Amino acid sequence: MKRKALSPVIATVLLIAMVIVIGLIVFLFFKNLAGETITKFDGENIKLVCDDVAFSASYSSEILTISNIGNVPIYGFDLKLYTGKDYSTERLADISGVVWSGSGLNPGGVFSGNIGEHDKIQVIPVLLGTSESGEKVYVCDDAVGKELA
Amino acid sequence: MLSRRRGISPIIAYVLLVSFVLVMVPIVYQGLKSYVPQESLECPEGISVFVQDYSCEENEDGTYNLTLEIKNNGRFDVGGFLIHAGDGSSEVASEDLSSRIIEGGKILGGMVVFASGDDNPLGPGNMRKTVFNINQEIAKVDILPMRFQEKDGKKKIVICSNAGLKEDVACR
Repeated sequence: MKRKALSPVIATVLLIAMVIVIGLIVFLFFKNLAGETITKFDGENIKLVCDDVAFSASYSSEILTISNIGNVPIYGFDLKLYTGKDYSTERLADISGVVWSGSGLNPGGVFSGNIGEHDKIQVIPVLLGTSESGEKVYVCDDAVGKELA
Repeated sequence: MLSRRRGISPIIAYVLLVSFVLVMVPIVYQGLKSYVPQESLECPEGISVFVQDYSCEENEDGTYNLTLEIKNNGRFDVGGFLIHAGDGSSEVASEDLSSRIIEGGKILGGMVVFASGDDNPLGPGNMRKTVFNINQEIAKVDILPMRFQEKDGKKKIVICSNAGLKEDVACR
């Protein structure tokens, strides 16, 4: 009985092509799901760079003082400003009356400014990294921040 | 009785599996390569300096000369230090004193270095006297040692954040 079928060579090529196409589709799907990767310092993921950030901070009489004692330039800070148990989050550079350098706080640099009265504040570093679409700002995890009462 | 179950030819199966692996490897590599931690710039364990002595002398023009004797009591050479002064109202000192140095070091980008170039001249057991001219009241200084270290064939400034010290210094 003569049954028609594809030649094994053509079948192989077709299957390989299908695998490649499906692999690309899966890759693009998960890439979009994971979001854009932001890197700093020659391709290192910025999440890992956050762990190398070192700073000391104090808050007294409405004055916030921050010193960058590490080797990672800090682009900015997000502040969680607490009143009781409620809090609002503000970028330090956007607080009225605060003079913040556009280049951020380089290693060894110190910032001091009046941020008003709050029960408690949490200072979270913000870094500037590079992504496929250009420079991007990344807010480090809360665990890297410091709480000041 | 022979079973007539259909299946893919083993050769085609092998080709498919190998192709699948070859396609997945670069995909996974691209996704994970940024998560490989790189060697970070940090000072070795064992870096330590302290203020052996200090003095504060008034000048004729009303300013003060603050003299700090910085001694290396660690195991590695030190290239300089960052110094900030405070009046005691804040836990973190904010006034950069590096620009006020008049003896014992040079200014380099907001820090005091002991030598020109990228050497670490303050060896273990050695002391360096540094003098700062100040015109405000200070109650304490925060000092962070730094050193020059090589990375990727270049000398880089590394701040030793694990070796910082705070010293009560009453001047003025």
